[in-house]
Order: sequence, then C-alpha cells, then structure tokens
Amino acid sequence: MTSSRSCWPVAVASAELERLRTVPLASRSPAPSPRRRPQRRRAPRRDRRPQRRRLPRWPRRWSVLQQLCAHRRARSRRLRLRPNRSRWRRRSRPLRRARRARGAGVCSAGSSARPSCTTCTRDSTAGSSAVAVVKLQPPSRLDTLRPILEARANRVDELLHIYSTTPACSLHMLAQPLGGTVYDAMPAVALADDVDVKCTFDESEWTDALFDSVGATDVVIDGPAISTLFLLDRSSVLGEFEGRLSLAQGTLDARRVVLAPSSSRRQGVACRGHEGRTGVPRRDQLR
Amino acid sequence: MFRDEISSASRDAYVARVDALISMLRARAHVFVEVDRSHFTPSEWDLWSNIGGAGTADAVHRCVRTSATLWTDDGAIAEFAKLKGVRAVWTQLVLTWAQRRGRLEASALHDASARLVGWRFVRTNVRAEVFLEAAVISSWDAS
Repeated sequence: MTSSRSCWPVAVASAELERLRTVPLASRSPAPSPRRRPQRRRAPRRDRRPQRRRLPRWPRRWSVLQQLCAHRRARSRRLRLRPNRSRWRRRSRPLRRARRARGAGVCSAGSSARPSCTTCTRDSTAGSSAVAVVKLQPPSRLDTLRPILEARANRVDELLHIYSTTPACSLHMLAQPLGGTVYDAMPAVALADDVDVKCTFDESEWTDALFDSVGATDVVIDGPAISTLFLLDRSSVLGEFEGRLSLAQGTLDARRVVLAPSSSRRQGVACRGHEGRTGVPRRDQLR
Repeated sequence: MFRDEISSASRDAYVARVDALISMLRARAHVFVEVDRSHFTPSEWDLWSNIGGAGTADAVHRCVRTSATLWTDDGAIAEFAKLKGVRAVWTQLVLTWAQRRGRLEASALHDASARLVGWRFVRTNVRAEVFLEAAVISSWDAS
C-alpha cells in the first residue's frame, strides 16, 4: 500500500541533504573529531624512587570490616543490575529517538506514519506522543456478520458488473480479486442471473477457415474452454484431435488447484459449504 | 447470492469428474512449457499472465510460434490473441466441427448449445433445433 508514497523519514533526510548541499562549505560546522581521552601529563621524573602510597586505615574492629564488605558486595550487585549511567544513556539514545519520532507520527508497529494505520491510533492532542493500540473486540453476536456478508456480496456484484460491461476484462481478471481461478469464475459467471459470458464478440466469425483450422492445425486449449467442457460434460471431444491438442502446464496446474481442497477433505479435514458465487456449481447444475 | 450445501456423495462425484477430466487431458493432450519465449518481451509475458492467468502466456506464445489455433472461451483473450495474429476458436464452434465430422451426435450439439444459451454465453449460434432442445431440458409441456 505504501509502495507509491515515500516514507517521511526518507523525505526528511533528503531535505536535510539538500539543505547541506546548498550551504557553503565555510559556514558548515566542522566535523566532530573522534573523542580522545585527555592525556595525562606525566610528572617529570625526579628520582627513581617510587612514591610511597598511602594506604587506607585498617579498621580496628572486626564488625566494621564486615560492614564494609557487605557494602561492597551490595554495590557490586547494584552495578551489575544497572550499569554505568552514562553508558545506559548512550545505549538508550535510539530508543529515545524512536519515542520522539513516534510523537511526530511514526507508527509503533511499522516504519512509517500513516493515518490509515489500523494497528494503532495516535493521540490527536497537540504535543502528545501517546500511541494507543486498538484492541479488537471479538464479535459477540452472529448478526454482526450480516453487514460484512452484504458488503462482500456487493463487491462481487460490482466485479461481475465490471466484467460484463468492460470488453477487455477477462475471466482471470474477475477471478483474481476473488481469490480464485478461471475454473472458479467460469461457473460463477455462467450461473449468475444477469451476467453474460463473453465467449466471442462477433457472429460473423463462423467461417469455413476457422473450421479448417480446427481440423488441420495444432490446437492449444486454454482454461476457460476446459471449464466450459467440464460444465457441459463433453470432455469426450478432446479425443477427436488425434494428437494435435496441447495444453500449457500452468493451465493444468490451475485445474489441480481447484481440486486441492477436496483432496484435503478426503484425508479427514472438515468440509465446509460452498456458495454459488465462489464457483462450485449447484447440484442441479451438475450433470 | 444463493447458498448450497454440497453433500459428501455429490462432492465425491464432483471430485471424480474433475479427476476424470484431468486424466483425459493428460492422456489426449500434450502438456508443454514454453522454454523459448523469444516472441514475447518480458513485459508482454507478464501482461499475458495478468490477463489470462497461469498458462495463458504459454498458450498464446505457442500459438504465435507454431501457428496453432487457440481454443478459448474467454472473448477478451481471443481478441488480444488476434492482435498477435492467432486464430481463436470457442467451444460451440469446436462441437459443431466435431458434429460435422460425425464424431458427435446432433442432439448432443443442440443440447450443449441450449445450455450455453441458458448460461448466457455470447455469441452462441442458435437454431430452431436448439430451441427445441431447450424445451426438452426445461421439461416444457407443449400440450
């Protein structure tokens, strides 16, 4: 869905790059040099004798020593649990950036901010960066399905209308949005009440040359023709071509796909009902 | 929209019919994959796949390459194939050809034609015999 529109961080980055290009080099801030530890100046060596280091005073009491050890253990434990604060800050910088960007409209679920994002809604209060995830409630009643089914039926009717009124619309172009193949679409269109199957466009095409071509040349059969033969139950005609008939592998594979759910049912998977518009013909239509 | 539950027996019959059709196709037809795609550009190939689905690009390319006849019942594909110089035929024409050769009975052809008219296949050639057959199919009582 977002393929045609560029993501906003990319746009911001490109704008920033453009701005940098236009700014003269002298006015640019110098590139930050990598941090270096300030080198300690060594004191000039006066003599070779090592300086005497002051040792802390040894506690005089045993209990004080115990307290000190316990304090050290607790401190080391604390350090293990929460490391150095400055390092923690450095690590959490991307996280803070992401939080800031989310406030500017970036979706937490995806990479770009879109008002059409369905997983989250952004608080519209000015300055607020709160993102609330919408939790879908499960349907409580069966009646809630009715408008969905009606909308779906309307969409199918719209597609059928487009097919019947657009000469260039093929059966596959009708079947693809419905998630099927021409083997699903052909019976659906044939059994629909007010939709014509665009078989051919001109009656004057009944010429002897065409009959001769069927009889003399090789014939390549396509999916819609196989589907019609199946509806008519006249597959015996295929034997009349005496080796001149050929079929694309893709066409055969698509026919097998239609068969696939039934084979899974054979293995014990539960069977569901089928609607007429999805392509399975009614019992009375099957001969 | 109508809804029809299919029983297990009718479903098995449907599966058996599809199985028989696939077996018939495998036995009677040469299954091919077009390796040489020189007559179509890649964009044309994609276009044909989008118009007709799997196998249509192979079928039309083979027709272009070998001057074969395309048997399709999709008028849009037939019209687009004609732009490539391919002859396209449809099922009623093939059934009529088989009937002229004596391989198919006339009553079977009229029965098929009547059903095609009922399913609103345009343009189906209609004769008087087709109307009579349609009356038989619909159990029309002439008296």
